Amino acid sequence: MHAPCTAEPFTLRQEHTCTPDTPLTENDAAAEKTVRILLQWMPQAQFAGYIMAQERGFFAEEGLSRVELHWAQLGESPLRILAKGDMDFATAWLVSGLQRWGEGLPIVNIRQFMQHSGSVLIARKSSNIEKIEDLNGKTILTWGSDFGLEFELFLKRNAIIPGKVLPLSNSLAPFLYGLADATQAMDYSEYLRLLERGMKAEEMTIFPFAQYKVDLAGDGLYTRVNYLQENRKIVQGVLRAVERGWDYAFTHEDETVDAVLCAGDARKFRSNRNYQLQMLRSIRMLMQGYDGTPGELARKDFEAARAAVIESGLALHDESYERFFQRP
Amino acid sequence: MRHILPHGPISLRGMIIYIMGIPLLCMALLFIYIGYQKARAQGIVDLRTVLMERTARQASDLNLFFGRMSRYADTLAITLNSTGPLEDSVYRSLLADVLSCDGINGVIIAFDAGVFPAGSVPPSPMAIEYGEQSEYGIFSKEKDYDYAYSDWFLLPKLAHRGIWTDPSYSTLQNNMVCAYSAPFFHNKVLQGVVSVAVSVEEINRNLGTINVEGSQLILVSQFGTIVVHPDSDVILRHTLVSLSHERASPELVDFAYSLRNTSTGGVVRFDKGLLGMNEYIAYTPISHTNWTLLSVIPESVVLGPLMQSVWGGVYFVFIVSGLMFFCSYWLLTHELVQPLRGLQQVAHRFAEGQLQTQVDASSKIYEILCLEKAFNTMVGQVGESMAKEIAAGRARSYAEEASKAKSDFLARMSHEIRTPMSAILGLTHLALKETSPGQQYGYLRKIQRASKNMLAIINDILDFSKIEAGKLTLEMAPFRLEEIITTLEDMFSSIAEEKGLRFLINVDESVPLYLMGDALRLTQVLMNLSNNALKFTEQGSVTVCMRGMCCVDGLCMLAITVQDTGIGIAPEVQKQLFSKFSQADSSTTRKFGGTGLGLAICKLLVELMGGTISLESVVGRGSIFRVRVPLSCVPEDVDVPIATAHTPLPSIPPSTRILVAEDNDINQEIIVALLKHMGLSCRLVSNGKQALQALHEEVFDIVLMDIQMPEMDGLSATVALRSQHFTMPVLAMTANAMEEDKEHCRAAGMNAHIAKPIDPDILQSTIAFWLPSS
Repeated sequence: MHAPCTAEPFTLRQEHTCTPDTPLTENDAAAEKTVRILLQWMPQAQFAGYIMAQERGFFAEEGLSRVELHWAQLGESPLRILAKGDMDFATAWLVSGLQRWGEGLPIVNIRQFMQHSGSVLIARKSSNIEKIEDLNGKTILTWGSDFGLEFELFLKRNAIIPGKVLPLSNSLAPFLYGLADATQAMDYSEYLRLLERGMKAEEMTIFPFAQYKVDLAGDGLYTRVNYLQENRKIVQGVLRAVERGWDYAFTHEDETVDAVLCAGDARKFRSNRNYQLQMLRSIRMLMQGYDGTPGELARKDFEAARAAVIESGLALHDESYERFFQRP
Repeated sequence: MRHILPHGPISLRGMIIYIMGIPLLCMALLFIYIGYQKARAQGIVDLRTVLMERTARQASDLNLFFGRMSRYADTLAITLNSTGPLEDSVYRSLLADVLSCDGINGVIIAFDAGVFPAGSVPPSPMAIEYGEQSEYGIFSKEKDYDYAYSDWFLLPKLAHRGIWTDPSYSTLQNNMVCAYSAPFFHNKVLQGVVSVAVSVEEINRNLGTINVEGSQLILVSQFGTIVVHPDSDVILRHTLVSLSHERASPELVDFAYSLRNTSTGGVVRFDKGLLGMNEYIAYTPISHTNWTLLSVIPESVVLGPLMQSVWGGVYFVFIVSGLMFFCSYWLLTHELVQPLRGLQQVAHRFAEGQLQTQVDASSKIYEILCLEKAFNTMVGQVGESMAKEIAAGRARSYAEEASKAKSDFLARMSHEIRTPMSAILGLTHLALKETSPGQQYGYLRKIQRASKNMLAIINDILDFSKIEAGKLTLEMAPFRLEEIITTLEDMFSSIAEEKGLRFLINVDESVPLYLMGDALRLTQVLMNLSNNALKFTEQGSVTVCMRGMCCVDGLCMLAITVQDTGIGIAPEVQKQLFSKFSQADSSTTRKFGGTGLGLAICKLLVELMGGTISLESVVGRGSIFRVRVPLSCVPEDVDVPIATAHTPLPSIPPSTRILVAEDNDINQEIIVALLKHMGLSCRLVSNGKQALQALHEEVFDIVLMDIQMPEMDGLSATVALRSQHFTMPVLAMTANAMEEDKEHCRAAGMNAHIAKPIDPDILQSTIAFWLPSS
């Protein structure tokens, strides 16, 4: 059981105001401005850095007293919402970001937190799927939308022609009900969820995308190009606070899990400690098991994503690494 | 009460406690344990049965409920099959019908994307209950959310059949709901889904309240999501698997997995169950939804009341066994330990010398009784023989002591007699050799003094022997105390003067003039005490005081003290001073002379008179002897004879014819000489026979007869002469001076008794007294 939620989790924390080093004028402007961050899924440990930055008042310490965390709904593209200006920041996988940027959305990657995506394909052994080629002709579930590109690339690069591709609800129910032989999933999230819902590890065959020719970077943080230009201090503040949030989350697992569960409960998205703890540790692997500069988008990762997008048959109106990834 | 003696043997009480208490306790515990186990087993069997039965009934009720709910949706879906778009009012009416059904919280007709041209008809009509009210509306993607990816829509769409979804939080209804959704088709093309929502509260209501008291219901969906749980925080947060993991119970995890494939119910027990304790879990599948109803009951709920009754049993068993124990303990200690303690105490007393002690042989246990009797017999026999031995030993030691005292006494007497004897012999030898009559006279005077000393010693011995033998009889005659005083003064004044001492006699006025008693013996006592006092005093005085006390009714207690300023007597010696054969010590005898019988004789005489004698003395300061003698007072007008001592000796006519029978030459010479001094002559014979012959030959006025003589002794001769009618006085003249000797003399017919050595004065007065003429 997690600790009961006593405070409204996503409201302003009055006790953390501003850092004295920040220039007064910009600081005033930043303090008054509401900063909206759209996270691409429901409240879970995948976003622990943001949640802890908010919880521990790291945003406020950066002079950002009004930071709102928003949660995306399945079927809508967070990056489109960001581009429309309904949000100031949004998280997205690298390939999705590149895809939307390629479509011409005025967005920019300001931090690449996860160097791997954690995407997997989970198949039922009862459907006689042991090897990658066994997926041919099978019914496979996918989320589509921003998550669809990686999946399609996985099929393409591994030369899989599924029998049927069906949409996947966020509860994984279609897979559990046996309406499909395999499903797209994240190893830090849906896989754990399947285990909780009565599927045993030995009943499943896991195909991690990274091991099957689709090793693409995961969550990154995006903002609008003009927002970055106009609010560079805010962007810097947000990044510093989130990085501190991640550091804090990884070194304070119990407190972080409590905060994550509280955030979930507030959104009527209930989960349990073990689930979130496992997820937090998996996320840490995705973020820290990397040999490059943390938070930097490596050029090779950009290139891999760019290649993936082009391979998917999408056109990119701009292919400049320097314009896609900008350090604020 | 010590039951275990340190480093020693265990006590019998302790043994009884161990032998009885421990098995009794073990039996009680075993009894309780078996009783508990039986009751527990039965209780659990009962619990399992009732838990399973109730759970099955509740699951059955819930199954009917779910069936009813799904039929509403199915019926509506069938209605919608093969119909094109309907009027809004028709949808409204259809939805209102469903919503009015009991248990339905919401109903929606959700059309699949592209069924209606965009903008023509509002896509998805819905009706939702808000408390008591219901509301009809149109579900739109813009206003609400895109249900394309929601389970309640997606699942029946993909499955082409009605499906119960896992419960989730519905933002639309602001409630936890689960839904049954059924697809409807037109020309085999999916048109949409009819979904009815049932709130978790509604499900809870349909569980009823028939669950076993103390049990908790847990309802899990087909994929394990917890829908109903006593802890509301668990609901929708956990699945059965995740909760089992959180309980860290591998058995529970296995159970959670196994439920997915179960089609029948059952009861299982877990050490650490869904509520985190020892639990029994009954489970029954609900066929309509593939859900499972679990009924969880903590073992403590069953065992609690059971334990209460067990505790009742425990108290009962403990009280009964405790009573049994204490009764048995009391009986055993009373019948076993106490008799043994009694034996032990008696043995102790016996060892301490109480030889007559016995055990109260009253045990009710045969063996103990036998032991007590045998012990008593043993103690009796051993005691008797020991008592005899002790008495014999005591007698032996008395005899030894007496023998030793007598030996000492004899040795001392021998010495006392030898001393004057050697003086007599020595002086005699000198006198015989001396020619000067003056010198001879001096020697003879000394011989006489030594002889008198020796005679005094011998008299003492005789007196003592007489008293000891009970032969001494006291005279009862009136006397004048004054005479005794005069005698004392006569005797001791000059002696005191010689030693440079003062000899004083004080007589109190309270002393009567005339008294009745044995004046001679009283004088003897006073002389003895005075003599002693003078003997042991070197300077100062010896004072004799006399007082009359309590002179009433003719009786007077004469109190006499003899006080000296002499050497005194040590306290340890005072005790034995009056006992026979003892002087203060034997050195005293050597220094001061005497037999050591004096004080013993005094004591015996005083006690014979009914009086007491006591002593106070301080060494170096002197001694006081106190004598109290009860004497009768005599009226002053009574004629008291004047002691003969001072009367002149009666004369005996020279013509008196005297026969003397005496065998000893010297004695013959002495008696002849004595009679000659008196102016008398006599015929002398050497034995009784000759005496009888002489009597026949001559006439005699008086016969002086020795007792022990050869041929015929004095007594036989007297008997003979009396038988021959000779009537003249016969006076015994013998060294046999004991009273019984005198008796024998009188019995033989003699008239009087003159003791040897013969006192000339007594001889003269006695002859004079018995002469027929006087």
